[in-house]
Amino acid sequence: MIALAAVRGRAASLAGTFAGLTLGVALIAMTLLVHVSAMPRTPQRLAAAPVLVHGPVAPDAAGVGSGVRPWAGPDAVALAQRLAGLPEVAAAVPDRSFYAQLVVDGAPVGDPADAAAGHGWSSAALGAYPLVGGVAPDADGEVAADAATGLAVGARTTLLTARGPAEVTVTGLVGGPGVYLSEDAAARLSPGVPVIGLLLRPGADPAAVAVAAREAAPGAVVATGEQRAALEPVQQAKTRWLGTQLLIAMASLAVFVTVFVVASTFALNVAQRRRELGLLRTVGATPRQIRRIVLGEALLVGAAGGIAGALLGTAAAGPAGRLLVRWGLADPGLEVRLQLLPVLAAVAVGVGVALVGAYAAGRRAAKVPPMAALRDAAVEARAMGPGRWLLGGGAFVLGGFLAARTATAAADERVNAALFAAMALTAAAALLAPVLLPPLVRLVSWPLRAARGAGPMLVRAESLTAARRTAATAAPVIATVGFAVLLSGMVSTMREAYPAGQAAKLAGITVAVPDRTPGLTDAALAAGGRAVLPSRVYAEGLSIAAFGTATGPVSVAAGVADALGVRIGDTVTVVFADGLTERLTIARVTPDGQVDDDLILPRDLVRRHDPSALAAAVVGVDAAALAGLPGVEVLDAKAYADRESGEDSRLLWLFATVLIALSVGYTGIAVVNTMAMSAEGRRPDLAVLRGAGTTPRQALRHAAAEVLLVVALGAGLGLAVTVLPLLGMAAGLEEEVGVPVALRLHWPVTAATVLATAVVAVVASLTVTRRAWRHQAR
Amino acid sequence: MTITHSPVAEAVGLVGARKVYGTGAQPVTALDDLTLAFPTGTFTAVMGPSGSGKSTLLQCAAGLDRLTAGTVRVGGVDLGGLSEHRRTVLRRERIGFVFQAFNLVASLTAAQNVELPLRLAGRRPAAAAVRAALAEVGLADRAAHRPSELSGGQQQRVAIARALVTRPDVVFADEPTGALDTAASREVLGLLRTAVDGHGRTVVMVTHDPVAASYADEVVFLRDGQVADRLGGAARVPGRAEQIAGLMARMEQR
Ligand SMILES: Nc1ncnc2c1ncn2[C@@H]1O[C@H](COP(=O)(O)OP(=O)(O)O)[C@@H](O)[C@H]1O
Ligand SMILES: [Mg+2]
Repeated sequence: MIALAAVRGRAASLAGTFAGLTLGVALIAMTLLVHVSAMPRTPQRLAAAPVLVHGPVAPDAAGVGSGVRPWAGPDAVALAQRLAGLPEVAAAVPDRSFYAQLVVDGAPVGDPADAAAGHGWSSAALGAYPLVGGVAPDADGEVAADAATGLAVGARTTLLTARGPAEVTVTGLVGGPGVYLSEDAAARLSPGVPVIGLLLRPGADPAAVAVAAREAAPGAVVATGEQRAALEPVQQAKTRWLGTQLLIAMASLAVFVTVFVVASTFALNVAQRRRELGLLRTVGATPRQIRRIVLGEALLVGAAGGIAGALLGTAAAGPAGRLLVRWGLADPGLEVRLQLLPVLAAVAVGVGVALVGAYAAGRRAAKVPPMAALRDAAVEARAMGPGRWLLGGGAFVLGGFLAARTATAAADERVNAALFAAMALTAAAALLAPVLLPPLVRLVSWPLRAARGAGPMLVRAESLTAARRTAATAAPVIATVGFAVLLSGMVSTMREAYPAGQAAKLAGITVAVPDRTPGLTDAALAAGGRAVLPSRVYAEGLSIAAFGTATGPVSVAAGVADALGVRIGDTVTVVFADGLTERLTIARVTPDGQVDDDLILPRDLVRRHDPSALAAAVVGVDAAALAGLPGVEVLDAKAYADRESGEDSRLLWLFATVLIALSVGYTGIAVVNTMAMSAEGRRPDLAVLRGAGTTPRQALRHAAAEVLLVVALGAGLGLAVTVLPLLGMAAGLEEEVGVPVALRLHWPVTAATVLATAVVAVVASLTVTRRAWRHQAR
Repeated sequence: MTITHSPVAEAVGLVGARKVYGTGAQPVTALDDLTLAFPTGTFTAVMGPSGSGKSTLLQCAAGLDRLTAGTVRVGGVDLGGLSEHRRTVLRRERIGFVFQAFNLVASLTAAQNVELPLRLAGRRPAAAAVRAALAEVGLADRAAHRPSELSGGQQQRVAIARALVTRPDVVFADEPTGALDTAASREVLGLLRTAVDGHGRTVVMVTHDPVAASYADEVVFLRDGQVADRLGGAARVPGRAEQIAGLMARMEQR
């Protein structure tokens, strides 16, 4: 009863907590719904095979995805024959995937990122893709194309495989995606077989067949139903991984900031109602009951915010999923399904967050003595408690130390040091706002001190005396502006610095890159230049990225060496893409943190075991030699460097903007919250002003001016504490990439952040002042 | 927790009570070796100059604050030996308290404020009992009103109803009429008197007002944290207020 009545009695002061929790739960519900909906699904092209038999799934050493260990062709064929003999099995189809792309009117068609669109003809049955015209390919130089390409039966066209372009005849048309070759041609392009699909007789029970298959194929994985999702394409797993990173970042930000909003609101709440709590203590409430009252309030607000957030999050999940697809962070087939469990989980998190946030306040409330009922409670609580001094001071010292390190550390550490320095200094400025602001207010308003009129005097006096309110408004502004400047400045600077450095390194060199294809074929490699052939190998139950280089002695990255338990001079047995094994002797271990060095092998070895491996680029090519080759584009160093970093910088920018937008939203809530909570305390002041002849218009103007001053100071502080570390970062980057790097602040984002914050703050302040004024008038 | 009620002649007793505020350079001794008993079923007024320790006496006797030295017994239970929790529970069951103002939780109605001690004790208050308690103070028709909708006198009457609803051994009131006009004061004092005469409660009231003190059976005068004088005799007899005023004036001259 008491908690309920208390919530009813102070609805305005709990509105901020409610809004924070609503937003937090909405974000969590939305991310969970999207995440659950984006779980791996059985690829469409294997969906007609109720039972799939595949090699062991090996997790990626980097933890991004996993790979399926393939069988060697002859073994797979033998196994398929055995499986085909099982009761109820109509056919057992060894499924091969490799790079194959048709060229129509001189341009490669189909998904430019799909390096596994080619299959043997028999695989079409696994997706129940029908032959809609012509006949199945049966010899070299024959293909069955997706009817959607618009090609006609009998058409002559170019087929791109890892070997290069070749003239082929379209003998058949398929009612489904993919390029289908004869079994022999497929076996040459992909000697290894990762999957055998079982087609069953009508009415057969997949579970029963799976049991028999497990016996017939010991050591293999036999998947039915949802389990078949383990065979989703690697590209899809990567996309989902990226999307998950963004979802995790959003949800974590939501949780942390919501805890912060709840904690500060409840702390202020308890400070404001010491007298009432003391009264309850005199009437016989035990400390434990007081704590329960505060936590009960948190529970009620948490539940209310949780329900509102659940509805909002559910409504937002569909659009959010579509947005992720548009941003390339989710599979285009993503369809957000509404489910109860993730939403309930989000509500539970919201209630938990409310309780965690209110916990400290509850403890403080329980310590309020009964005597507090007798004292005047309205004394402005100390703005700087010992905890705040400690945290703020600690963050400042840490920030200063890191900033100093930025100047002395090695180049690659400088960027990180600058980043953490900026974060620590921003936190310090936000925490120390009650100490930093009064002198700043004094300084800024000093020229106005002698101005005529009551306005400047009032604004100055108000923001100085109500240090707590001023600081509570400024702190989130400092944090958000600091965060926005740091993130946008860092991404802007990096996305200029890295390509510039790369371009400088390749100055004067031309580079061949794929054009509407997933990679370069041997035809492009033949023209000379440096190229790396990426592939995958399997060892010790792990899937490892392998890179074939021209010279490559066998070299592994330190992390991979640890995972495999090998050192220089050791030999390790690996399985290649063709299912064959080789014994490799480790000649070198490279330090972690480099790109494309998990396992470096001689290029010939990679090509021998993976005939469909594609190079991402060929550096130092003769443009003339490549003229007219389909699917190849030749770029100069600058264009190549820009293209290389394009996707990374697009993603970085996307993450940065989403997180900045979120934090601006939370700042808005925090500022509105502060205003609403301080409304009560301002009433007496307003009454005095009114008595002294202030017009409503003047009162509103003063309120707006005061809040603008505070926002401006907060924004200035946020900018000030981030710019120095950012300069340090630019200097570090300059050393790292070897070309001059200028600090790029992103003014549009910075300005938009400040503007949005200011608008929210002014509107909130005006609303609160107007309401308080009306209240007085009554 | 149940506390067994043993019939004792004194509802509250202080023996050698000392209360010192602050430990720094200038400690203030608010109660100085004070020994005093409030007999069961009596109405005592505590008077004295400002700063003489009246409020401190009340707070320590009510278990709201702890003594620096000495003992307080309420209904035979030594408060000094109790934990914060047990002291709170004892206060809830045996002691009522009325302040000069701000006695009510603003967000609760009059009836809810009266129910508060019962609910805090984990009991489900009978609607009839709450109604009766409010009727006793003449506010049966105001049960659903919030404090902001009640006059100061009405708020004090709700506070008295709440202080009495648990049938406490003793009710402490610290200047309960200090903020009220004469008519409202008289109502409040009449209610306290009735609690003693009609229901056998013990009432201890701090006041500045000789007229208010004249409602009491005994008046205790404090000075510098000690008992300076006492006045027995009959309550509410003609001329008593003047007698008390005379005593106060004489004491302040000394
Ligand atoms: N919380 C406190 N801290 C310090 N000194 C106090 C406190 N409460 C009361 N005092 C001091 O103790 C003395 C007695 O105060 P009090 O009991 O309130 O007197 P009275 O109620 O008779 O006016 C006064 O000198 C007062 O200043
Ligand atoms: Mg007093």
